Amino acid sequence: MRRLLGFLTLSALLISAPAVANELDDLIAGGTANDGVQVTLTGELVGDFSPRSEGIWVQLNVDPYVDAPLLETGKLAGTNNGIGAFLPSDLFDEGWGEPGGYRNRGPVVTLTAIFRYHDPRFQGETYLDVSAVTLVTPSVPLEQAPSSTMLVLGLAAIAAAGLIHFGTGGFKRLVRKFS
Amino acid sequence: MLLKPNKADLRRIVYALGRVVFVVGAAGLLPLTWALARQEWQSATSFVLMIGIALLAGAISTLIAPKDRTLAWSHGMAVVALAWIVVPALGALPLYFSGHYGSPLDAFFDAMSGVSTTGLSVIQDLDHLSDSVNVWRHALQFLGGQGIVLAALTFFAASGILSLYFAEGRDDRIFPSVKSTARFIWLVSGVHALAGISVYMFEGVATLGYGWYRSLFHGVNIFMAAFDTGGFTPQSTSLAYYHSITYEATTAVLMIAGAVSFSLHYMWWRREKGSLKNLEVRTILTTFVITLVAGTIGLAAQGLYTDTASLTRRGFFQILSAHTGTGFATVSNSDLASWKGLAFVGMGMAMALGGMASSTSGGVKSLRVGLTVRAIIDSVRGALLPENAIVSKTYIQNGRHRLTAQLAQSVMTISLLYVGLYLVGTAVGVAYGYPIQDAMFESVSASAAVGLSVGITSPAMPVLMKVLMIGQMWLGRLEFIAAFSLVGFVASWVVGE
Repeated sequence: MRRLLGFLTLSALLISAPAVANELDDLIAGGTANDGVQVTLTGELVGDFSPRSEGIWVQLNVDPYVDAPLLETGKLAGTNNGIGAFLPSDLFDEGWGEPGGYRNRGPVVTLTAIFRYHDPRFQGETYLDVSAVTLVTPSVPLEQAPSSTMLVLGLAAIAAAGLIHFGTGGFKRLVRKFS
Repeated sequence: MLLKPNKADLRRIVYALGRVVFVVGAAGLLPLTWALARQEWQSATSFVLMIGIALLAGAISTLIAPKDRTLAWSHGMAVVALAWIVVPALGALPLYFSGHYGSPLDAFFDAMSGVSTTGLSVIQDLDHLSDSVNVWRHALQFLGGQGIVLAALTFFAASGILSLYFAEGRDDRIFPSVKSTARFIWLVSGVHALAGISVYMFEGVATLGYGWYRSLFHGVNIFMAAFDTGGFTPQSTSLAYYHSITYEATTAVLMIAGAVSFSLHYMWWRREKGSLKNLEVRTILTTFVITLVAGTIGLAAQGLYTDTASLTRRGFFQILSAHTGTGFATVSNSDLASWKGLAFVGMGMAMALGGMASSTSGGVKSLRVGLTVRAIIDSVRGALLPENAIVSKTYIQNGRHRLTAQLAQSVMTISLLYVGLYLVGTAVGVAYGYPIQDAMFESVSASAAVGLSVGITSPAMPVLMKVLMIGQMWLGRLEFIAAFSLVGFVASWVVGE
């Protein structure tokens, strides 16, 4: 029994979840060899749209959450996989909707771009220099229902703490402290 | 013979821990308010639960408080070591209930990484995390950087608080009273917060093109992570997300302010001259220049950046981020993993050495590095000079002090313990099949509370490595002594008479 428990414990400690790799990983890992290569990537625009004088910075995520948002499926699929993308202002369309965040899955787009590795134009940035954008799906709202159990437990704990505090003369101590 | 602690000892410890836990409850009001304002109801309920548990635990600790609440040195050490386990455990609740962590252990990993101001993370789908939970992650770094127990000391007076203050890895008192020192630390942080967040907001609106709310959101989070040398960011691509040299410059100033000891802040505050004569200031300037030069030469030799502007901007920021123990990145994990030779040596050294003592950063700390070098030089001089020659063994650190053999031994012991911790983590990483350079990078990053990663730290990491790294972050932040004291306390409880 003890051996079996030992084996199970050791197995639990040694087992690791599988790592997920994708085309964006390969692109970045290729580094200098991929510099200047034209790529077509489909992913979700997340975070903020950041307009500058020469164009707009966005973040393109190419990960499983693009097709299966966490709040919809409840399934975790690893860390985000994103890269900065710089697109000329005329390619940007406000009709895409809000970028991805807590409240929505951002617009899914297909970007045609040149992969720039440590580009001197932006003092060493690694990014996608976008030449064409195709909207696949506009931004979609997401919702997360509140947990009434957590709320009830939390409020009960606060009430119990208050009862203990004031029941043991906490109120008198408070009045004495501030009088 | 070990003396077994009695019930009164345990009740004193539980009571003091209860005071610390109250602070978590109070700190939880910030993200709760944020959640309510943003109508993030699920997150709000998780904060209510955390606050409720914190308040209840604190109230129960009052019930069992002994009449004599004076904390002896050993009590203080045990309280601090336990506080740095209990606080992240509580802080992990809203993280876990956000649904962005694969297990409670993962949420605890991030909470420990937060309070220890490390910045390594195993969160999944960070880019869709609610704003209030994101604020909580960063607030954990702020709380930890300031010192959890220090925060409690500001509000709750207790006998024997001196032991708590020193046990949390602070070496100097700016004022005779610990409480006054704690308040000064909060004042410095408050002024930096006001200035830092204002500048970030201005940059957010004026240069990044964000709206007011998003500018505030990013500003608050990045300020807390920068000034407390934490390294968490609200988006998955770290500081590279902003694509802004001015945002990086503001962050660099705040990282430096965070890595500076609060006694040096006090000197600047009072416009006292002579700070450059301090051994610690000279050491950190020297090590920063050495690591920067090594890193830059290494990057240039590798040909990773083809022009000076790129090399300077990326190299300077990464070395500064490593040396201050912050862990922000403006390059990707795979980029960092490709830094070889001198570039790796520069980064590794910068991470391992760390910032100043009594600051918010981790690592061996500059004062220890300076004193170790000084002790070695004095020993060599002593060996070379005639036997009857007298070697002056003094150093300047807010006044002239004697470098005694006892001080030198204690400093070297802690430095060696850090090296040992770095090596243990490296060995485990190698045993799991990671390349030795990557394993060493990650181990130093966790132990020295830096938070930069070459890609090993992830939700897919083996459980044993997660547990080990949690231990490294805990030990590194407490600088060993409080943790060892806790072990001693438990041992005397078990086998003492």
